[in-house]
Amino acid sequence: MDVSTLLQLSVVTPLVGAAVLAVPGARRYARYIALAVTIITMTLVAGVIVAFPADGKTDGLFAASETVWLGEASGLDVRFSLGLDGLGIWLYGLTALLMWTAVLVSWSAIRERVALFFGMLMLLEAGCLGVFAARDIILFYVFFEFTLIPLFFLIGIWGSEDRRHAAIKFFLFTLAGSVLTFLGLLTLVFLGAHRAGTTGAWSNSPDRPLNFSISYLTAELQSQHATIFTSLDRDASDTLSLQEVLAGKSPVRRQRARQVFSEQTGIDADDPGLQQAEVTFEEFQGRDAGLRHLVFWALFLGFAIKVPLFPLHTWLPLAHVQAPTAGSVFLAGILLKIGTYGFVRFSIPMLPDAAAAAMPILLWLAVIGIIYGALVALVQTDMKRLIAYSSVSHLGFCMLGLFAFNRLGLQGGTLQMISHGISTGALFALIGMLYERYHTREISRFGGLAKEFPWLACCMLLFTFSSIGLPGLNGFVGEFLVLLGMFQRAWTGTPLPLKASLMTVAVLAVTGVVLGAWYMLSLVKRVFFGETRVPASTDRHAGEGPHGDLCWRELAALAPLALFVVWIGVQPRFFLDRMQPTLNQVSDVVANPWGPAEPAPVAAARAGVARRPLMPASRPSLGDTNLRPARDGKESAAGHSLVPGATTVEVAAPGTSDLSTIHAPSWEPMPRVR
Amino acid sequence: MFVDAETIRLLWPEIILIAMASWIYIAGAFQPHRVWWTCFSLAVYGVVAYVLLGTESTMWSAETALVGISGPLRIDFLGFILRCFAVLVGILFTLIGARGSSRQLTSEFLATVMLLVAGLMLVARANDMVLLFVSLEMISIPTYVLLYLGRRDRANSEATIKYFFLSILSSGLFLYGLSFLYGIAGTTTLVGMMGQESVQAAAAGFVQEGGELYQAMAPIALVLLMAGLGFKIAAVPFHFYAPDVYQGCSNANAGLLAVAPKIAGVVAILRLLVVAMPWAADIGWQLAIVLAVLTMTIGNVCALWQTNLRRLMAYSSIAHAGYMLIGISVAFAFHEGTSASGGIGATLFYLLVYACASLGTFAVLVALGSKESEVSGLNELAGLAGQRPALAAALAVFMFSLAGIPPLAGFWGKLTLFSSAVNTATATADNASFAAWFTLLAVAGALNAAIAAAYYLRVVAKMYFRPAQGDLPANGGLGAQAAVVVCVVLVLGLGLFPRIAVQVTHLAEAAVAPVDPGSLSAAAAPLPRLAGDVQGSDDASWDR
Repeated sequence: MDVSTLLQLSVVTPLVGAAVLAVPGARRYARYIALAVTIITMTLVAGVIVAFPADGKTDGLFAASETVWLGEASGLDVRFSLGLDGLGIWLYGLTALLMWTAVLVSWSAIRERVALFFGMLMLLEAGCLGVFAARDIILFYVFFEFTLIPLFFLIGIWGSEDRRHAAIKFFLFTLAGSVLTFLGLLTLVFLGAHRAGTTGAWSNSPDRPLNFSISYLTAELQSQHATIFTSLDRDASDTLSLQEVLAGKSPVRRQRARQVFSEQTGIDADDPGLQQAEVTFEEFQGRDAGLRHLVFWALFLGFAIKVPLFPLHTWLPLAHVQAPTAGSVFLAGILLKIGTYGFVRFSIPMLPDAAAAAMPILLWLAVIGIIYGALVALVQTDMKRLIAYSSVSHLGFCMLGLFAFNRLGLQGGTLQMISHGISTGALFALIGMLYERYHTREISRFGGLAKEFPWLACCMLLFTFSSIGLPGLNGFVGEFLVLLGMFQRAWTGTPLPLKASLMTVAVLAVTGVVLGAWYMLSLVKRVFFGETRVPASTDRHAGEGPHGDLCWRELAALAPLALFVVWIGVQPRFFLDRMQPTLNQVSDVVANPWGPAEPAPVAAARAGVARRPLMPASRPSLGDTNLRPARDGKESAAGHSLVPGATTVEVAAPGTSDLSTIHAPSWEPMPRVR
Repeated sequence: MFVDAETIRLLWPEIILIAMASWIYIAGAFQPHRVWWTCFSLAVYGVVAYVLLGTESTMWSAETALVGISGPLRIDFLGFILRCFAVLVGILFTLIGARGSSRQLTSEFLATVMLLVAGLMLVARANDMVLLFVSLEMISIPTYVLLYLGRRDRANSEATIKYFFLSILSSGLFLYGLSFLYGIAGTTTLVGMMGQESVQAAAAGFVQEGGELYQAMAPIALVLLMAGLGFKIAAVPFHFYAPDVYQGCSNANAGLLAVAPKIAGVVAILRLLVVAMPWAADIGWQLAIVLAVLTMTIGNVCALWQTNLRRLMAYSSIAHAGYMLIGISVAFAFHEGTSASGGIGATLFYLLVYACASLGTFAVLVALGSKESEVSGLNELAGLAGQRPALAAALAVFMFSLAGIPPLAGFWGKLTLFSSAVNTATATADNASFAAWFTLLAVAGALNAAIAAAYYLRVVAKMYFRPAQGDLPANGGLGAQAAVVVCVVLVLGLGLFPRIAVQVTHLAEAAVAPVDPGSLSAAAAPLPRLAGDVQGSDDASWDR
């Protein structure tokens, strides 16, 4: 079967499952139907992932498919377009994996309205799969918002005591942010349309229907500000970029600069294309810079609430504590990642200049979240609340990595998303199992459980170690890469105050790792070791739930997660390789906010053509000095050829993802070879 | 303005409706059976739909928007889809309301609804101030009767009287505005053809002559007309009646009030203010923005504290009027040279999705009640999901749609509206005031969507998260249930497959796309005279 068909089927299957569960007769077999659908979906997802190229080079999109949704005749060419790339692939896989856990942990825990529960879970899965597979900006938003509905019901109907409040707060908090995100996304679309081909005419009225494709918008918006030809070679002081030309304030200096530029590039100084490009550059800067910053912050609100970033996290502990176990697993495992995913998918590559400007603020918020989440987790008395605050802390690490804007950081941040999804999902599942036995989550009421529940304790230890980043398990790789990326960012930060500030962030982040170990280990110590204390079960369901140690079903729920914990820890390269090319593109664009040094737009301007259809080629950027291979003059010339086709020159050392290439980095720029 | 056989032929659907309504009034005295008359009027709507589609569907087969004028009528695609819409709304009204009225008066109820639908269909076509006013009254007067027929208690009488007086007042304001307009233009025809005086042409003329007096009068006319129509759509300074009236009347009538006057008001604004008075757009767009922001915000914020369902829906309907004003302000701004269109299409699409979800909500409330008791308190819905899962699910769908959550119809409504506003904001980056105003408008709209979700969610939470408090009768009859099904299908269908509806409203916008006053004064491009058969205009300047 075609891979794109597999992808479509994997998104549709849970919906079909939900529809089947809605049939009145299906209620008795709801669990089995849900399990069957989950297994089918997992198989389909596994098929897609296996087919994904091992080096992550997908030539655009993997498993892409498109169906017209609104159609061109409506002026809004929204399409039902799916596809995967290195960024989405593992989150997409994680969704299917966690669904297995979610269904199995709910097996005996859910006793009321079982069919509705599993139906909602299926809808949630479909929504999450869709979010990561959507290649249309509106389709993404549709799935993004749609996930709210099933989770709202999951929390509100099957949650704990304060569930109604939690459900409504969760829904409204998230919605309030995401409606502004919606406006931001729409504005991106219109920026892409109205300013299309900024090097050419300034188009006010798009005569073609709006294009909502994420790939198109990424390329378009990047080219809009890479229109803005960066240097031919920034290291060479005697060459000038047009940006620098334009920076020349006085007309005389400008005239002179333009001459130099035209000598260098061979473009006639009086060439109308060049002049036009210049004008549009100024217009672009003046008019849109403010708007782009606004759009960035609009997107920020929705995504940061989802993540949740520090001051916007208040909904999370409440929602987590009140949600049923399966809801918590999904919330922590997938839904929080939609926020970070949004940042990497939209904010950073589409608005690199605004993202670069906002970088210090976001890094500070992330590190405050790391420390704050850890400190608050330390004093929690409720296990679920503790894990919820640990999520705030761990997601801070993700954000730290993403906004370090270099390859290491982005890879680490993305891997950390996966790792956190697995380990926190498993921890929530374990706490759910404990809760099913004793109907309490108070830490102080437990003690010495390891004697009675060796398997439970064993699993708990494994996932705890994974969560605190023990080397050899998954958490370590992500955190390590994130911190490495962050320190690299801090070292290369200029000017000095920024450098100092970033260094502080990086150092503070390290303390977060220590704090993380502290609260998690003390949780394990208090609950599983020491004097045996077991709460008397007074709940009316006592006697119905499972007793004793983990049963086969519960072990089965955790087994795949444990497998991935070890696998990612031992062989991170398997996972990193597949996402690397996509992430490198992002980091290369943003590490150099004025676009990759790729003169294609200039060539296009000369030809009077305004379009630059492709994603910018991967190229080491200023932030990645240690990854930049030594270049001789010849290579440099090739890299800056005016032929647009030459833009895909692979400059980076291949396979930089595995840890072996992160050799003792020399923090100084490579010696210039002239 | 000459009425000939062609005009009559084009009016067949309305004529059938009015004739059948008269027949029901008479025959209802002899045949009081409720089901019989319900089936009869459904059959009438069926015939009307058949005639409508049969005579006109051929005209719009191509993707060109035909424009023609016949007598006081304007024949275009917008009118056509609104007439179809009116018939759909009529069918839903019939299904929802038939059971609620007392047994003896069912026939009167159905006949009055028919008159109202005929009025709606005429508004969609009116190209003449007088016809427009008369057809708006043809909606208002049956509404008074319907409100009174609904129930016979003090609260209902109070609601009816209140609505009656305020409606008369608004009609007065509207007429006053029309008189100004007539004074400016010297004609009652809105959009004319060659050799014929029309509001548009006259305005184009006075712009050239530089008549300062006219220009000074244009804003007065605009404000008065906006006030009169603002009452119909329950826009903010004219919204006071809505909560009280909705609360006082029956559920079925509240549904009617929430939808019928709104359709009429929005269409009249589009036809009269946007299309016929492009020269007043410079204050029009600002007025519309201010009204939109106020209407959305006040409607949504006030709805947060309501415990009576009809009151809640009244404030919700006010808030949705505000959303529609977003599209109207974009349409106004179009005249100011923003070149960013989309406003009219978005407004029409929003009207459609709003009507489906809103009527559906009231249909559920009717279905949950019985002849003796009506559901009115929010608390009465507690635990509904356990007792009546299907109706609760339907109501949840309507609530999520009204809140604009994807993938339901309401989301696409918000998408089209917001994208038209953002379009205007970004397309006019060189005009700072436009950009700022429309950005503000879009942000206000988005924030309001979040506020609105709060009270819609309360309804859903009540149904799903609370234990049942008592049994609801749920004896509202088959008609209401059928209406619920129709509305659910529409809301889900428009949500998952919005393509056709969005395209149709987009085409309708192209049909009314305003005429450039400059080209009007040249009078070189006349509208084709409709003779024998409706002909399409090949002239590009008129198509646009």
